[in-house]
Amino acid sequence: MATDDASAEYDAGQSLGDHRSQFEMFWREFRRNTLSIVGGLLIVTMILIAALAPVVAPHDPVRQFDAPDGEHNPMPPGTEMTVKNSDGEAVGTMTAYLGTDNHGRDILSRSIYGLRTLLTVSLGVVLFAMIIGVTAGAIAGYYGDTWIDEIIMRFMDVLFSFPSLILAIAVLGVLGVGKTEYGDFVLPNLVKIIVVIGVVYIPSFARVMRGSVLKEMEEDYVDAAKSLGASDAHILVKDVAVNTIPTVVVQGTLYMGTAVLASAALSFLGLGIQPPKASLGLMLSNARGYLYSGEWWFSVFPGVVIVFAILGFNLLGDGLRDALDPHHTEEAAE
Amino acid sequence: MSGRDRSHESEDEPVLEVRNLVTRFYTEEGTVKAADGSSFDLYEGETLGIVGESGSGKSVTALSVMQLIDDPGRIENGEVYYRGEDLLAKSEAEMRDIRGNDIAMVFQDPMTSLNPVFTVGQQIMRVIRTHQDVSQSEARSRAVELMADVGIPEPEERVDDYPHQFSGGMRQRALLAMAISCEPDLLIADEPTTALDVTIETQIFNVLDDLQEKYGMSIVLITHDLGVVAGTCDRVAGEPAPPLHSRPDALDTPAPGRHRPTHAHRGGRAESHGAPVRMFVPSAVSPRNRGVPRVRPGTPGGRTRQGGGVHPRARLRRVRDCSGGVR
Amino acid sequence: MSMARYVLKRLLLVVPVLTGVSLVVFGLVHLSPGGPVRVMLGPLQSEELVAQIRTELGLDEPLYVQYATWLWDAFHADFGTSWTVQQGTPVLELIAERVPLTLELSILSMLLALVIAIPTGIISAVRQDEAADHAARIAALTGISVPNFWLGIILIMVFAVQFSFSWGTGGWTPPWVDPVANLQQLFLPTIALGTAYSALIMRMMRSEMLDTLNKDYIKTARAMGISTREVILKDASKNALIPVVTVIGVGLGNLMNGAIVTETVFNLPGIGKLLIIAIDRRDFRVIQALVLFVSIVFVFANLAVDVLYAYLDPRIRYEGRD
Repeated sequence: MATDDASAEYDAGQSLGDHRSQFEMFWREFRRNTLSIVGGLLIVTMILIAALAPVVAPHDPVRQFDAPDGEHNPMPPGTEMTVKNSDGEAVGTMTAYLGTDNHGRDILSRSIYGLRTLLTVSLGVVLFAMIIGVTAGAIAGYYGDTWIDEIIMRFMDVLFSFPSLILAIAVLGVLGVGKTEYGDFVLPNLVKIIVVIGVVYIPSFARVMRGSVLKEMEEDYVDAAKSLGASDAHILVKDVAVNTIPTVVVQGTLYMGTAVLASAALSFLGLGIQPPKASLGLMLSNARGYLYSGEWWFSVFPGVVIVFAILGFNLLGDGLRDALDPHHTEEAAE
Repeated sequence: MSGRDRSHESEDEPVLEVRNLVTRFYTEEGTVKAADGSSFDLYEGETLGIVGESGSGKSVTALSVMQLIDDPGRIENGEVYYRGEDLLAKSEAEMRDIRGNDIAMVFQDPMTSLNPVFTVGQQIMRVIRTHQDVSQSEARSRAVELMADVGIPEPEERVDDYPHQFSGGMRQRALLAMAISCEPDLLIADEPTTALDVTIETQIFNVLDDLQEKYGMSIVLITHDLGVVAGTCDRVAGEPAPPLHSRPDALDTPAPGRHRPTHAHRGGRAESHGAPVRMFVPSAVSPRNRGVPRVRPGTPGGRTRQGGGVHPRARLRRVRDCSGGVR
Repeated sequence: MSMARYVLKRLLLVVPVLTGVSLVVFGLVHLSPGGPVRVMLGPLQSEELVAQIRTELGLDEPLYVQYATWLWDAFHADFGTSWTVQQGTPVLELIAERVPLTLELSILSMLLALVIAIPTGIISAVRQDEAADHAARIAALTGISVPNFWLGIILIMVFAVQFSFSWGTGGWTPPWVDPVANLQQLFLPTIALGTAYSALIMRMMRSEMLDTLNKDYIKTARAMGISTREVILKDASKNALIPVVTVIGVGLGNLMNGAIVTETVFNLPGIGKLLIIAIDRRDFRVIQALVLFVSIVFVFANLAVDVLYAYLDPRIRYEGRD
């Protein structure tokens, strides 16, 4: 009985022209969920750390420090390292709180810069997929059930048929790592990585957008507007936007988790961001060579950072989704 | 009304006796009183109508009788006696033997009340085999028989159909077949026709009538639809009381008497097809004050925000002399 | 009868998708600046040599001729011979000898995931908001957030190094040669790959169960005296499992993904490892064939899931009847 009323209220909030109460509902639901608040805080913190990396990181991520024995050897967390200037003179000491790697570089600083790289790539991936997907979906929906729609959506089906990482690995493998030059045109590595990871996420956004536009097109006023010379196209855009933005944002947040995982994996395979730039995946890849010799801090810390990033986006995405749809109807059965 | 007071109904023991039943739901938004002090008796072979607005707690009363109240709901108070046995004191295992076997229930929406992944026959057979020690093939032929009883054409073939292959009316018939499969003494029908067409509604009531005649069970018919009441019980008087907290003045406002006066004695009830029919409606009238029912026009189908508990002092008031039978 | 029609309809839908996939896979090679041969040979080799090899490999033909030839050969399971991974060995052979490992790893991980996820999901839903549910949900959230390659590294560090656990640290013995050694080798990789997947299925199972437990037919079954246990295990679970089946199919594709990374971590000679080697050595034929193979498996896994879904859900099975 109580749930009946909740659903009645929810439906009312869904109706057009009641966007304000819809947002209030949404916020109330979201706030109630402790875990999503934790996720949100985690993400905000990580984004701040990444954005302010030059300020937050104690050291230059590529600077090498000397271990007490005078070499660039890996040292455990908490070791006091010697800082030398370019002439090789000792000018002071620093504490490597998370230890140093096999080149004597500070793991903490590298992890912070690695996080910066990871979030940049992942955000790029999701924005890329979102922009292309939403545009394609809007066009397909507007020309619903015509050949334009058919072609776009068949193409989306094709993109959807590739297991995500495989296509990215293959394209990067073919193009090679680092920037690619087509005559005068230079494709920067970062853009290349973003595109190849993001391309397989496009269909999901396109489908959501298309569905929303199709639904909106059935409304009477669209016919009326069309018959009057379609001068009210902006109403369509506005309504579709209001109805779709929450869904797209939730989907984007959930895909952030996936994108972080994919970028880290690509990096781990050596196909992502190239050294000496700090990358968490590469740090783990490097750590594989030290599993048996006891340098556990090589692999533990960068991994924990990746886990927190993914966890944060998943918590936040879950919370947003549940708040948007308290009844949690899975879209699984399309 | 407190305690077990059956002395005034001494001639025969009721099949079902509900006293002062209070069920509450503890939600995050607060406590919702869903069934609040319902009391009624049901006698052998009769049909009792419980009328009330949507959300006035009728279904919860029925679910409480069946002990099917889940968290966050709780039966707070009251007594439920089935043939003199205290149902509220029964264990879950004991209740399981009673449900479907002695007391069966059909719900409002036949479209969603059958499990989509099992055939209709499987679902009927399972109820039979849960309560009776019969073989698969015996259960099957019994299921076919029951489907014929409720008027499903070609039951031998349709027994293997899935629910989605049935129309709404046919599904409600199938649910009735399931409900009567173990020949219960009491059938609770919770708004059995609300989700159906008017034409189908008549058919379902005819089936109910036939089943009652054939199996001699007592029926509790829950409805919010005064059309059902008006169409079935000519001399029914009384309309549902709205939840008091949405209309604080209800208690003090005597309603216009759209009802016809009723008699205060059970003896006054009419017979139809040998099935006596009585109606209960919740109202803000003391049960002792039966002679002069004070009722007010309700708004059937209205929805109330807070789950619409009936006012604490509201009681399920008995309305008698309902002729014409349930159709 | 109608089921057959459904399968046929679904198969017909696969045709344009596979055509598109083949075009993308074929086009892949031509994305590289200067063409595949230049990239393969590196910038130091002479133009003459590049031109000579291009001609030998038929890369001078017009693109549509190349595509037609490639497709025709692919239809006959002929992907040519490897250039650099293992010169002269048919590509199909290279793939075929590595498929069993990846397949076994995928299936084992899937089984592990299902064995953990289904009961946990059910319990979590039935005990909603109790301690067990909270524990399971937090475990699942963590599970989907841990990259399998990192989990693999940690597993190796903890088990193989700390406990001198010699299992699962490289190499693969086919199960038909030595099943015990085989299972030992795949033990840690299976955990690494199965964990995230298990978390995913558990979450899905839980939410489907919660949804199903609120359905009217559950109330009906209980009102008919069916025991809670039976209602949960039979009525609710069967309904909840149907959508979960779809995730399994989509997950098969993801498992292939995961297998590539996991094989790298554990040094297992599967197709994932082959792809990495092929990319390293610019063996385009192997890359093309592998991507095509994995995509086809993915497409058909999804097809199989749809058909299975239709079979499990009578509402779809009988679509079009009546």
